[in-house]
Amino acid sequence: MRVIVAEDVLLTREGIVHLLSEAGVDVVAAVEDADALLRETARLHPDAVIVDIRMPPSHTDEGLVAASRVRDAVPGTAVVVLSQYLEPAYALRLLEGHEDHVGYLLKDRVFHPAVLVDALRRVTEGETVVDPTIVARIMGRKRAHDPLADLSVREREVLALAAEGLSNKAIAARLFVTDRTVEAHMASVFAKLGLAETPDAHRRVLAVLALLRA
Amino acid sequence: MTGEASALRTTTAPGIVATLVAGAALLVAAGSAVDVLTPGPAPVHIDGAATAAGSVAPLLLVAALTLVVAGVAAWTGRPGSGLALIAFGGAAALLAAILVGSAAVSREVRTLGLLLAPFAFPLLIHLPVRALRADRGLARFVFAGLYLATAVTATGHLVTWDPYLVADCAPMCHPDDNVLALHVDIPLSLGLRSAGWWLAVAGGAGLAAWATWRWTSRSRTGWADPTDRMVLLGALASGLAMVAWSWARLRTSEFGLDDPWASRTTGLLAGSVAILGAGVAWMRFRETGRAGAVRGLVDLLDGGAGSRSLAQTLAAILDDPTVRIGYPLEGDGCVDDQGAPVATPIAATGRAVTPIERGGTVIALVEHAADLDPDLLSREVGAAARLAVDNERLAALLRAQVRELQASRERIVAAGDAARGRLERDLHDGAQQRLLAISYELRLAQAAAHDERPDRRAAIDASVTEIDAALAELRELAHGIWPAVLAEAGLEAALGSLADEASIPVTLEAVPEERFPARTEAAAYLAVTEALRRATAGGAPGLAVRAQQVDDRLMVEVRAPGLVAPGPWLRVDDRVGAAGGRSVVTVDAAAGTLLSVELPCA
Repeated sequence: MRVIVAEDVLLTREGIVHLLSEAGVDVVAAVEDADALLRETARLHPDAVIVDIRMPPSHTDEGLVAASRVRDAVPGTAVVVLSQYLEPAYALRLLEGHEDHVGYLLKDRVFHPAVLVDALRRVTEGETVVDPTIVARIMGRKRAHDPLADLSVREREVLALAAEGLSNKAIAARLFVTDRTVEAHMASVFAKLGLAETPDAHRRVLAVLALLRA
Repeated sequence: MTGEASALRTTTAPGIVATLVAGAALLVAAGSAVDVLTPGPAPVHIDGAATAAGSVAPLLLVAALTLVVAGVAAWTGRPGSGLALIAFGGAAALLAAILVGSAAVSREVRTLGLLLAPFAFPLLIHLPVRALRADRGLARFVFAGLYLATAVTATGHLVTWDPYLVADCAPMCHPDDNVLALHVDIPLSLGLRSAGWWLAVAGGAGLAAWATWRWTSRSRTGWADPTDRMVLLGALASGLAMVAWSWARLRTSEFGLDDPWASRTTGLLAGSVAILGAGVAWMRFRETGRAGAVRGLVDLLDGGAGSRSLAQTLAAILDDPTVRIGYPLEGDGCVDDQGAPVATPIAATGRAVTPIERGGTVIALVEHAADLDPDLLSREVGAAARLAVDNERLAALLRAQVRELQASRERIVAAGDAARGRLERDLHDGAQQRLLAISYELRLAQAAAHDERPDRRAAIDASVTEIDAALAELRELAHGIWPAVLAEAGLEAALGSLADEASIPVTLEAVPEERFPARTEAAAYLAVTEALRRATAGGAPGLAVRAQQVDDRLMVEVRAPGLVAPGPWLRVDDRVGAAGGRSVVTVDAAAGTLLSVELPCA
């Protein structure tokens, strides 16, 4: 897997490159701003790019903008945005702007190589990745009329994993149950929440996040 | 009181002189009217220097009469004004020119006509310049020189002139026509006459050039008064006519008197002067009307609620849409009637500034077109009107102070927000990045430590756990200091995030996705966070937020059922007030607390 890393802080950039190389990922370039990322992506056609959400010049949401530009310039490139922001609004903005092949991870994950590499693998395979902390935050929101109140503990687990972007198969593997069990849970959850079921994992993520944020 | 003042002015010396001149002009006008209108022997050409009366005499009479009207207009506006004297003098000179060629009057009158007629040129040149108040500074000397040169050539010509001895005059002149022929010297006399004509050529050309320059330079400043335009047009025509008239006569002295251009140019001159006189009359009558309006200013200003400001009123009654008023601040600078800072009025090209004083203090600076009578405002604005203007000034200064306070309040809030935003960023980009780097180093150590003693491995593992916790805490802390999402994604995203982390249910019933000005978003966000804080502390079961844009206001309603703790909401009041909005809290034992916030959208 060929990857470009875009991160403006030298230490972090070197760290990410080192960890990914250790994990057997081929880091073809490491850049420090959005323009360089775009240039190198167009030149090297990597499988995925990892981009920090805060980059020069304004250190706010350059990463999200850069993600869109990368996808416009070289369609099919998977993008993982690393963010300090807990707000689901940023994740939704990323997800709503792209069909799939995108991931939104909190920056702390950078140094859990397994999580980062797993996310890279999933987005290059076309999945959608949402950081579990963000999903937990949304799921934990206090509500006057909580649509999640009717769900069983198991159904909540399944819903949270679906919101993180996992496919039914992946959820089954994670929970040590069969695919059919997951499908049954999923049908039940969607019926209780009043959502139309869709086999498309990306759409499922969006639907769940939108429902939980309403 | 103003009536007494004008009565006093009437009795001043120039007033008496002007009265005499006006009377004389009217007498002469009456006499020549009789002469021109009564059928009798055809008028005789006596001297080309002053006139070619005859067929164009009625035109000259009309021109003289418009000058008399202009003089009367100037006189009624300001009795004894220099402009009135010039206009009456010009009329007298034109009528004198008619008399020169009249056989119906005595030779003494004809001689007087010969003496006076040449003064038509300096007076007619002076008239428009004076009317537009441009005869100041160096121009005064130019006009003094012009009058003096005319006096020298006219009297010199008269003293040395005997029409009977000149070939081209002999057929129709009488031997004793010139009663002032004290020292007859025909060559000298003809030379002086030519000198007078050349003077008129130069003066006429100068007048035409001045009128053209003034027209174009005033056009560039944007707004031009129609009466100015008419006077300038008359001045241009008169200047050119003077050149033509004098040029025709300079030629005539060589080619004989019956040159048709002699009478044609006289007609041209008479017509041009009529335009000029009418323009000056119009201008002065209008100024008199303005003065009356300014005198009645206090009635317009004291119109009660909805009455117009001084600037609007003056613009209307002076018919000058560019009128601007500045109320001087105690230090430097000026404000308008709304208390907004404006540039201190200055007399730029085509503009003039009149200070209005009260009790020795300048209470207002009025910037207006330079063509306005410079003394009009200081003269005609009465004591009662000054009181009204002073009231408007005090109100303007008060508004200026309120503005300044509001601005300083906004600055304080903005500075606080900026500091919090910087702190949040520093935490993210400084401390957090360093912690991440340490975390990375620790993980490398952790990976390399598999050979180490178990207690050391445990220490490293504990450090990794600690640093992860520190990172998580830091992230929450930075978020609490300043919600970056508010500035970047707007109110909807920020309130959504607030609802995510609230410990009681927050229902966002409606929040517009549009972006609003930063201070409006910040004030609305803070109002909701403050309500949430109180609701949480007061044990309210939940919070409902509804925000919507109504016209140019953002209306935010936060309902906290069950929250009945009264007390001032100072943070919200301060924040919303600084953003230029209003907030109202209503507490009801049954319905709980309702916080209503209204904020500007632009």
